[in-house]
Amino acid sequence: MSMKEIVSKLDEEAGKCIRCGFCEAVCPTLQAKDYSLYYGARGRVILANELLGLLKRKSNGIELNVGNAFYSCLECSLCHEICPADVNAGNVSNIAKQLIVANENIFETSQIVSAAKVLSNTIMKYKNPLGLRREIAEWSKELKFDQNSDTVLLTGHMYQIMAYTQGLIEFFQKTGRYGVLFLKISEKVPGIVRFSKYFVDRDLKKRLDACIKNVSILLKNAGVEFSYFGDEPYPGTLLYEFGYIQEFVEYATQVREWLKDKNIRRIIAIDPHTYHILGSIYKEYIQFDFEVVHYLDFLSELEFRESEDTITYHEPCIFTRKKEYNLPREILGSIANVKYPVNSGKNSVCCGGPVESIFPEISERVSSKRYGELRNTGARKIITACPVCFLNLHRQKEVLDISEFLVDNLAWEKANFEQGYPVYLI
Amino acid sequence: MSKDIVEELRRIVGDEHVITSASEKLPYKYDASLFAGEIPLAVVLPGDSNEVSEILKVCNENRVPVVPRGGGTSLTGGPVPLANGIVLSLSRMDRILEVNVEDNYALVEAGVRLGQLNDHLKENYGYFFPPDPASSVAATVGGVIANDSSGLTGVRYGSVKNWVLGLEVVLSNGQILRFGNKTLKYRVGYDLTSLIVGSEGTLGVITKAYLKIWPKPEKIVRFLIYLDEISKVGEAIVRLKKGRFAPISAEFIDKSYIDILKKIENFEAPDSGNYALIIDLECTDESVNRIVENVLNIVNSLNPVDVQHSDDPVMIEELNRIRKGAGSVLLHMREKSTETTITSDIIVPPSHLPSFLTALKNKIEEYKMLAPMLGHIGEGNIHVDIFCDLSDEQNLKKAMELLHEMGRMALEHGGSVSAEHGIGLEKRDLLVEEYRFRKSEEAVSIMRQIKRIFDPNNILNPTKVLKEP
Repeated sequence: MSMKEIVSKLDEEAGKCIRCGFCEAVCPTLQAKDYSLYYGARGRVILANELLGLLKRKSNGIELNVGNAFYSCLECSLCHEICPADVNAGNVSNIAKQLIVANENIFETSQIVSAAKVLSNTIMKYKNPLGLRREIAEWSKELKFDQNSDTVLLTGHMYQIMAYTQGLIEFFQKTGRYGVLFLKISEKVPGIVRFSKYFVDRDLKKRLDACIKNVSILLKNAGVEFSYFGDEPYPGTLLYEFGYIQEFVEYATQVREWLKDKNIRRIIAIDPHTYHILGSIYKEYIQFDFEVVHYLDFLSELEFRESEDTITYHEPCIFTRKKEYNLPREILGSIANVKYPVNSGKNSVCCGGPVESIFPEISERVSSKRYGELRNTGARKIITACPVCFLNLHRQKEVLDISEFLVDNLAWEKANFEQGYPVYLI
Repeated sequence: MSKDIVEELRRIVGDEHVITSASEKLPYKYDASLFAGEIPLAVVLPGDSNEVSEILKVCNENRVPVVPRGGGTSLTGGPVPLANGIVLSLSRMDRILEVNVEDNYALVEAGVRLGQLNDHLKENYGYFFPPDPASSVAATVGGVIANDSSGLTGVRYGSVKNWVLGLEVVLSNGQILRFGNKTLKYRVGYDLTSLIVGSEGTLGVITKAYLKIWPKPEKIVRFLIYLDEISKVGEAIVRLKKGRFAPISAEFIDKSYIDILKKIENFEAPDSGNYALIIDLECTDESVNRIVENVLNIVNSLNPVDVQHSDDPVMIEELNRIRKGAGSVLLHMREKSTETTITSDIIVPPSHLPSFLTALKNKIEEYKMLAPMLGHIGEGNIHVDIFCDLSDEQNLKKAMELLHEMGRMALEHGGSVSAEHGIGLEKRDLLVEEYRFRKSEEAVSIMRQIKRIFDPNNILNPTKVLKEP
């Protein structure tokens, strides 16, 4: 995408704003940063319009440091729900990041932009944000798949990566300026990022790997034939989210070719981010004719026991606002008594996860507030349907991934084991 | 010197609550009006009244202007900053301290948003704080008191001043004073509470308020009435009032608004409806049918294009959302991004509406400007949104002329230039003009004297309301 196209897109989105400020009332990062407008939805749109003004006036050198404003945006789109002028400050942030990346030489860059660059380089080189390869497929040991099926399970690497992020964040928080040095070296030597594997939380990895295995169990029991390949690529979500749009297009094209090589027709996604990027965003940038479905789409025939638990469901922003995917609500409602928090449905509040790796303090504050809302429902268990939400809320014991809850409540009277999976027989 | 002041401010509120980087201060240049301020010296976010007091002491001693800021939803430039001053953001002071339904009050900090307060009151007590500006989701208690806002429910409940029992105010010298009380009645000397209400941050900084709260109506029935002529809009209000109806709210929007809402919000309306009246009446399960019948009798006498009614709270809430966002949706009519709107805030006695609205429509046509109108018609408060191009000086001048012309027309009809948006930077000349029209220019002198008593060094939101101290 050319610079002119990016500017035009940004102008189209941010130019609609009349600064009424309604978005500030709901923006989770504004409150998390003690109400500094720079970290709020309206502030981001104002900054974007200011940038556009500077670019139109062809100012030499942009003295504004806008990296933190846009990179701290959760892109949760809650602002869009309330905006009467139809502005999505999340989209504004996303496009502004593209502008920053495309103009590295004129923008004052921050450490955050360096971190984004390192992740981008790593994804391009290793097809995974942390340079992980073998670790991605460990969950699938002992399982067999229908490798000739034209339906593929793409994990998107999201569940797997989550076991490493906390350790890495703590490393950067502890090392301070050495962390900055690490980033600088990483920009030149992407391979250094592969040390990430030593930051694994083994218990968490075991649990998250089990979640993916649960998905396979559910699909198998629903009679779905699907393939899985240990060398599956990461879908490039962070390239898109960090504004590396040229790289994203190149990368997405490689993913498409990989899928074509495997004769794939249909993709089963297991998390909202992968579901969204493959199902919606890819098509905006490249020819991408694959059918993209979510694993929950296949579970309508499965029988679940009625749970005696009162649960609450933390809805992922992508499901409620970007994909309008409410199937998890329906499934959970058919199994258990679901109590929803004060902000739910289209007004559901983000878990803070999208900025956890670069703004852990903001992420933690957003997450704590959301956790409080979920706790206030009085429900005994909190269910999530996204590994990012799970990671941000899981510090408490009562948080479960939806796959865990579903497998726990699968109505099997006795089970056979086939291809490593328990298969239910009623 | 400014460096020393910033250090002092940091000492008071902590480093993390003083913003000095140019990029981080930039969003504070604006409110919801077309005015852009300057980049301030610093933005300071105190956590309690004592910190506000300390900040004001420092600023007063050093003659540093202080611009208080709530939700930044002002339409007249009230909170836009000055280059050599600080922005005092009350956002962190966002606690609801006490709710007492037996005594009909809530004690809240200035940074609480009205939407937040009303959610809390409704969910936990079945009560509400009745003034309902369109910006209620974002506007703060301190902001609406400083502006004496009202909004959609003004016809029934009046403006904020009718719902403020007492205030904690920090004066320019840092003194913390309490005006009024938490009691429903209070008659102790001059009414300083009312003096602060609507003072737009020029006399003191509001830090806490005792607000009067009220039980929510048991049931509301809403009428959506489409009319073909503007005079009938005014006539409908007059006839309803003569019929002894006291609506909770009575709003209207014109054809431009109807069309853009149809396009953007999927608002359904008949093509020949040039004006839509939205009227809410309080009722009970027992009285709803009788009220509907009586209102329909009155409204049908005007040969409306269409009349709908509903008591479905979901439908009522959804239409409220659309109405409250209408001013922003209107911007979809822009032909280029440098266009914006200047919003008039005139008010006339409702009995003048039939003739005033016709005259207003003719005036807008005479100016040949795009100027859709809506308003809180029940109390005669009309907002005309005049489109103007910020990059075209002549066009901007013409828009300001029309704004002033409409203000004069309101005065001639026994009305005022400003009903609820305040003066800010926008209507300072109109303020003087209104008092001159009433042969009461001395009132402006009295205001200046009051300002000097409260703020002798003119540090509190200088240049707002009154150009000169």
